[in-house]
Amino acid sequence: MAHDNSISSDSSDRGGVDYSAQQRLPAVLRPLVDNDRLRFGLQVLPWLSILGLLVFLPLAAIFVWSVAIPQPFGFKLGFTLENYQAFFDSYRVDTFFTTIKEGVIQVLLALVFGFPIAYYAGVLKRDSKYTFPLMLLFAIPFLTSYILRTLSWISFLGSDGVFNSVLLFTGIIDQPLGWLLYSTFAVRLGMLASYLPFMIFPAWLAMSRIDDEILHASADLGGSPLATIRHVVIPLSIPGLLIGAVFVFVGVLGESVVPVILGGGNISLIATIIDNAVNSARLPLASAISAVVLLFAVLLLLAWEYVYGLRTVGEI
Amino acid sequence: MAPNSDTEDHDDESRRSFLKLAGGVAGASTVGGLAGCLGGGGGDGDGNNQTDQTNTDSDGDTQTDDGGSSVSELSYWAVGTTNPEDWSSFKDESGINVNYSAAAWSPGETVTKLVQGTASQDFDLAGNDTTLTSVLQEQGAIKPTNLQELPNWERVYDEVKNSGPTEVDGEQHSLSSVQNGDSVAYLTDEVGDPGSVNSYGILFDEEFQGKTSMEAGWATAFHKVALYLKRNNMAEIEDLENPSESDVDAVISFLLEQKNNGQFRTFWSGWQTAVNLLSKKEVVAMDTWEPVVFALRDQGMNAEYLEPKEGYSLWAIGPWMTNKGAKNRDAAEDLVNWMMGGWYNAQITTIRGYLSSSDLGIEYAEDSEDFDAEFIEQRHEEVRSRFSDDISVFGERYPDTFSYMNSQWNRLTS
Repeated sequence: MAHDNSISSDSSDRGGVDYSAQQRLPAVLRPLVDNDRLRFGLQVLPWLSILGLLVFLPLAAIFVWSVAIPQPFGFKLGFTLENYQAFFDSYRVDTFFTTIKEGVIQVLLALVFGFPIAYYAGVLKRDSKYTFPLMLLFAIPFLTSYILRTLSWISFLGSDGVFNSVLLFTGIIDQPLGWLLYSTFAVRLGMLASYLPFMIFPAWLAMSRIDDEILHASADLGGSPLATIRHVVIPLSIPGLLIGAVFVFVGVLGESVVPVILGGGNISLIATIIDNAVNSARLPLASAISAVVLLFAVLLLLAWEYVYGLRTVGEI
Repeated sequence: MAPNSDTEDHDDESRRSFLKLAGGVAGASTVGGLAGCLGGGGGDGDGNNQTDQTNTDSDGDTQTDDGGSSVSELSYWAVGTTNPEDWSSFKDESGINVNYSAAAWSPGETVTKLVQGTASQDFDLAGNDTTLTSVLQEQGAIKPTNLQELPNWERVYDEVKNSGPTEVDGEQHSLSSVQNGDSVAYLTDEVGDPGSVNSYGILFDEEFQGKTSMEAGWATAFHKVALYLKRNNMAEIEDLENPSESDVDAVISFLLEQKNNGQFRTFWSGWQTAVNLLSKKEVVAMDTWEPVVFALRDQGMNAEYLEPKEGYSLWAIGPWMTNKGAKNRDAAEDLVNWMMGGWYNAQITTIRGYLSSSDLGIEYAEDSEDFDAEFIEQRHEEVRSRFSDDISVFGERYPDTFSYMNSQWNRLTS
């Protein structure tokens, strides 16, 4: 006990910081720990190594391959811009613009449908014990195969699917609606179902952290519920909404399942074009397209930093 | 022990002679119902000789007769079409386990993995479209298979032996173990009976606008459309088998026009999607695989497979001997021989309806309660006739214009 007390007393003498571990280090190693910058460097080294190995190394390979010289059975390392040219001078670049357009549409749809759900759960029913379990229901689809989830839409949207059957039965239509399936509509619906939770969860988290007092103050000052949403809830939940928007948009950039299964050849996104290039043994072309998509995503993040600052992420 | 080349040659020759003899005896025993007396234990003719040809040592490895290699397992990387879904028959007969890995029917991916990747060193045998044989041989990814020296080769159908793509520079490089002539599946109640329907034109008939479908991949779809355009003098097609860029343009241009007019409901991929499109009547005619028709009939639907006046799109899939396989040549060729044998042939035609390589499957089925010999014989006759007509085309799946073809087809389906 005496020994314990002495340590405690020693620590309190140094402003409550326990230096005992450092003092137990061999003298030769102590400068490594005493130097703040060096210590910080040692602390982040493992994480930088993992990040470099798992993230930056594959990304570097994409850029190296994107300028590689195509060969009949693959490629050889070198420098050429013909892979980028094959992207920009063809239908592929149109598909890229289509992807951006569809990404924006998905973000808007996710906001329209996701915001009310997040508001209901994060503001109106924030004290209910049922809110959290119910919100977890939105995560259940992620426990199943993405392909099977997408295929299941065919049972609902097909000519003899659930929707057409109900509409025919009720007499609202006398012919099945063909545009429900194998169409742009079907792709948008399928993607919305997949990406809506990516908007709901961060928006819900952001809204659930708005202080009750602030919401009450808005009401006390005569603010209508709509005015409270406009002047209090939306501004304070913008970080969550932005993160949701990025998740949804980036998801669309990488989407290759839904358009193939539900689009019927009427709409294609850039990830499918990349898949096709890989399957056609054109890895440099696939890499060039991926590099363009990646640079575009980085530009988006930089724009976000310029407008809002990346620190807003921590404000959720 | 390093094999002595003289000894190896001698042993090899002895082995081949014995295999032929054993194969002949076993074949006769199958016909005469003597398999049980010889201790065949349900194995087919070629199987018995394989048991005779291998010795299992104490640690379970199998010593092949070249004296230089010992394998207890063969790795086979191939399209599911050639997978009998049960390799125990070969294991029982040879003591060698087959480790099967599924491959996509994707010419580009296959060539890339075998030529640029390590597939030729990773797998003993690789099975994919036989029209890739030439390019794989040129790139040194595969070795010849001594098919003529394998006992079951003499029972292989002439249409299969002469199917063309498997032979390079006079040497057989692959057995065509599974093959068919592809056309279009259609619903007779919607389109018409077989007597009135005889052209690929049903895919492009305005009456069925929005009710037809093409396959998302070009590998068989392209050649059907090219046949349709050429045989009906609708476009200049120079080479049906190895299309030029202008041939590709002609077909893609036609299909783009059809697509823009709303002719196609969708571009399908995958077995279940193909069956569902027709069974749910999303489409009434579709460029697809023949087993789809069998599946529809099993559901009680009236479905037929088109007998096109323009000719079928022929294809074949078979095993190549990789560089790794060449080192285990005897064991690998035993497996190829087994794939020409009774059980494998009967099984493949039964579960997929495709033509296997020899009539040993029919013989095997006649002596077995597990198979319908009549069905197998009927299917073999039907498909063999497609391979022997003068109008069907065996299209290259790795044409000189491969990259251009992919690019243009993707433009169509995007």
